Amino acid sequence: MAKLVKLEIKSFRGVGDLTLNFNNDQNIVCFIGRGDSGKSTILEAISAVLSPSWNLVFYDTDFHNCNPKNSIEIKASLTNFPDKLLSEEKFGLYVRALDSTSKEIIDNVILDDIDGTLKPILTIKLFVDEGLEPKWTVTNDRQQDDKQISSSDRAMLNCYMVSDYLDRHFSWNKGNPLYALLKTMDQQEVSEEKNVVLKSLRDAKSEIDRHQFEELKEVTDLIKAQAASLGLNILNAHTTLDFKELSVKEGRISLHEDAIPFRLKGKGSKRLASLAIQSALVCNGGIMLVDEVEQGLEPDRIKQLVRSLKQNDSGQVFLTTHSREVIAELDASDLTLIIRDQDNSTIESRQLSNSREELQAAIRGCSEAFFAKKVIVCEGKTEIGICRALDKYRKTKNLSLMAFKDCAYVLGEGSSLVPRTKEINCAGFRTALFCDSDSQTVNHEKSSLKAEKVKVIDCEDKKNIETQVFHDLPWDGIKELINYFLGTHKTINLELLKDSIRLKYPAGKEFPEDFPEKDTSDLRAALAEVSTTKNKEWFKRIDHGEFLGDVIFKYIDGMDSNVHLKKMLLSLSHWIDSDGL
Amino acid sequence: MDYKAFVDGPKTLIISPAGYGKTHTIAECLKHTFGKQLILTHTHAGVSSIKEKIKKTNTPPSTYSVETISSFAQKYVHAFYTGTDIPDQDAKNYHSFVSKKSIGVFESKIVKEIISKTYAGLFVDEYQDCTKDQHAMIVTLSNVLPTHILGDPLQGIFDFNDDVVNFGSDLSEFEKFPELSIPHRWYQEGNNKELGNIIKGLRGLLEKKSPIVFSPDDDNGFHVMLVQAEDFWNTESNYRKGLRKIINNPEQNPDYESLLIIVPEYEDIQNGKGFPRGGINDRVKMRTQIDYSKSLKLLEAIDDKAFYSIAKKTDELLVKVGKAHKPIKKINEDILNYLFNKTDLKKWINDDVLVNKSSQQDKEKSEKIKVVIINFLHFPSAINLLKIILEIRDGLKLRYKREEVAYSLRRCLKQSEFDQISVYEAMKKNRNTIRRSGRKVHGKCIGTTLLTKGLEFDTVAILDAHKFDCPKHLYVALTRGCKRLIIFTNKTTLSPYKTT
Repeated sequence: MAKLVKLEIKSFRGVGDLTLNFNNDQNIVCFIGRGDSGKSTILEAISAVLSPSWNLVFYDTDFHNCNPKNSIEIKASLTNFPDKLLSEEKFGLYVRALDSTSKEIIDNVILDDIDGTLKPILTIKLFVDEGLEPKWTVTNDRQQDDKQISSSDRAMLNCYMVSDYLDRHFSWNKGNPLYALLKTMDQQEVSEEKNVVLKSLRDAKSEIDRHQFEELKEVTDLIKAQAASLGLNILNAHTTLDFKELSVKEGRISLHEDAIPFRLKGKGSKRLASLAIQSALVCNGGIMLVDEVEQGLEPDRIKQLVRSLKQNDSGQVFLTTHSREVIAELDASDLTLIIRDQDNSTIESRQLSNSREELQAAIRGCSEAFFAKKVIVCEGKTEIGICRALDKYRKTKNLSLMAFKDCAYVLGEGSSLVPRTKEINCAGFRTALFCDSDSQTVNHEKSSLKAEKVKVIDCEDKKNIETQVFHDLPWDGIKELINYFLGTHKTINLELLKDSIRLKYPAGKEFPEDFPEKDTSDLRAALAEVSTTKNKEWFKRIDHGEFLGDVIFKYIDGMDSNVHLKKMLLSLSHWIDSDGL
Repeated sequence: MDYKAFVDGPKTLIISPAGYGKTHTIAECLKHTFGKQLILTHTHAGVSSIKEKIKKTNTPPSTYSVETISSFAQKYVHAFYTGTDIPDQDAKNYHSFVSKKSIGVFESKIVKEIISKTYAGLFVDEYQDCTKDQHAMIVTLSNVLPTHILGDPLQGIFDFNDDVVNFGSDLSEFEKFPELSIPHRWYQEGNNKELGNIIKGLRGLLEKKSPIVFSPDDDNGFHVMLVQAEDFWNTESNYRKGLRKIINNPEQNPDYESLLIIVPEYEDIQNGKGFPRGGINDRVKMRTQIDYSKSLKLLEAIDDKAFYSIAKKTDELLVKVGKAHKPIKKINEDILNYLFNKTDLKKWINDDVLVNKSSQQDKEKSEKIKVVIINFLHFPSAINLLKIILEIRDGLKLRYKREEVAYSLRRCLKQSEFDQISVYEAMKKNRNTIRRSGRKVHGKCIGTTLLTKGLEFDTVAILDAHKFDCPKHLYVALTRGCKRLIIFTNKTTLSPYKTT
């Protein structure tokens, strides 16, 4: 069945100019991106250009920048479309070709095609100018005049959108998914198939006609008598249902559960029922559009739904989502990032590729990144905690929250740190790496990351974040940290702590017994070492890291401006606000 | 014939002599096919006659489509050919360009898919008229669709450049069915059955390239008149007497009211040099000799050069007449001499002046001509030129040399003024319309085999039958009449085969 391989949108709502390519073997396409990036508009565009309705209403607000001078033009190129549309009297002469190796759409279909890689393509165009009258045509670049395509021909493509206004999805109207499903299941001749609903309806009416409507008889008789006195014979008059009221076109025939029409059910159930109808349709081939697939669904149901949608092998499903559950169920190649440029003028798309396992891991491991525009990849939970604290600190400085700046921070952990940073950066997000400088392997990668325009925020050479903090923080701050440590570790008291610090204290130097009153560089070094002892780390939990951060930011204003810790964190904060590097 | 076997074969061929029910066969075949059949022929006239026949069999219109080969090829080439070198539609090489390129188009996998999703079978009519390129195109299509060919090599007279299909060597892939054998056209109620049998006998001889002998059978409408070619120009000869009897029809024989006089086209060898004879100018002259009743219609080729050249000359005249040294002479030489008989015209217009007339009546006529000419010289427009032509025709009662050229020009003069296009453009449109809609030809006509192939008349008179130098042309000439055939010849045994 029909599959969308290319979508071109010009001047439609938030989208000025956007071209998207889809693989024809791709059954599911999930658009992700920050809110207002244009994901829903893309689905609306597909829905409009392939709409089975004979008319759609357009307003000035549907034009890009609300300027109807820029005509709306949406082009959908389809492969595997029904044979009927390929015939000469339909659109055979307007067909283009998809080169399945280069994935390009070509107009010269009479090229030598020895390998048989060319597949027929139909490009449907929806055009709306300031007259607001939509025009659907089949088009190509061979200098032919476009040919109009009727709503019934478009209906053959079985493209439907699950939206919030889906009451009509439960009625048997022409142009509705239920009707389309009936058509695809019904193998009978066209003329007969048309009448299935109508016939049931007529049967129903004759059933009603048999009813006597006794209660109304008295009035009817009165009228008969009155009419007779005026010379009108209506002796056969009786009461029954006006067939007009039963018109199928009005959509009166619809799904019910017991006596309740589906349209009166709750939003969540309606959505699921509508999804059920359409996924049945997609199994028979069809294009299904679901905006915010997770809406109204529990996480386990989301996963189940996405899994079953992904398993269909004949239809094509387009989703948008803001849910981690959804993208964790999908492969990287199913995802298309929609990125709106800072000044809101242009939209870009990036299809993620399956070929790199690291990307797959990055998506599973830190899906949050894929919903943001800027991502801070943190080396450890401590850094995550510090980022949380940074957000609080920014608030006290009247700076916007990181979420407002479309900035997320995710965990990179161990050997995956550099690859994840690279993948996320490569996928098109502005990326910062927040890390230590005590690992040779990581240090080696830093210059290449910088070359790829990753912002690297790191400690001084050979230092990790704890060493940096114990080196740079004012002594009062360090005392707070010591108290925090003692407070959270009930089994350890000051004496025990002193003992372990003494062990790390340089030999031959006198240990200050009044610890923790006096500030010495040796003490700071020993403290740093103790706080990072393997498996006994002080801050390697997000909440501990957050406290560490809170303390740092409490003292940060008082620190000298060339203290590295201060420089590091302020440059991170600055990066969050900046558009460039 | 076994229609079912014919349509069930993937590539089949049947030879169908003229008048043996070829169109009928196609209509019958459609009763045995499934899905939509594509039926291709060569002329628009052929298209409409096939459509008419099929309609009578109540075949649903969704199960067939009839087109000319060139318009079918044209449709696909214009849809899929992406080169920018397609010649103008009226350019000489347009049709050969289209059929050449169509081969590549129909070889494309995607186009094949479109064809197979649209049609379930292909019939090609009048196959003998296919050029080699058209044949190659049909062969390409025959790899996608079951293809059934109908035609008659003996009617293949459109072989101008020797590039038409050869039934003997080009169609070996096609399974040959037994030739149609009943001359249905003559067997029909009211037609002459015996004449049909006589022509069938002649066909057998022509196929074998044997000399053919005409044995007159006056009772059965097969008349042979032994005459000398030169006698045509002698009013009192038997030749002319015979013709007068047919054309004037003093006995009011109804068969003579539908009459076709066929003039052979051949090459006259004099001193080793060949001169083409029987062309339009020869026929114009011949008609003036024998058109006693002024009812003989001169058949014209739709795309005869005269139509286009006079239109072009008119456009030129409209621009240049204002600056001409002798403007009246220019009108005369550029246009009027082509429409009217020169000698007749000279009595009224000579060089650049109007001839002085002595009688009062003629003076008035001349005065009227003067008015329209002066008017045209002041305002040289298409409409004002038309007024001159009409005044000469109606006022002076001069006959047109070639009515169809004159009438077409008149129509185009109006059209060009109305649509604000050149007369030449109007003429191209005019010719295209006629080609599309076909012409109804009836009554009494004079023409050639090329102009009358596919047409039927009650009576056919073949002039100088011994001049035919091609068996195909002679066969087409012999098969045009369904009631009476009158052959003027200088001998009863003919051998119309070129000695090469």
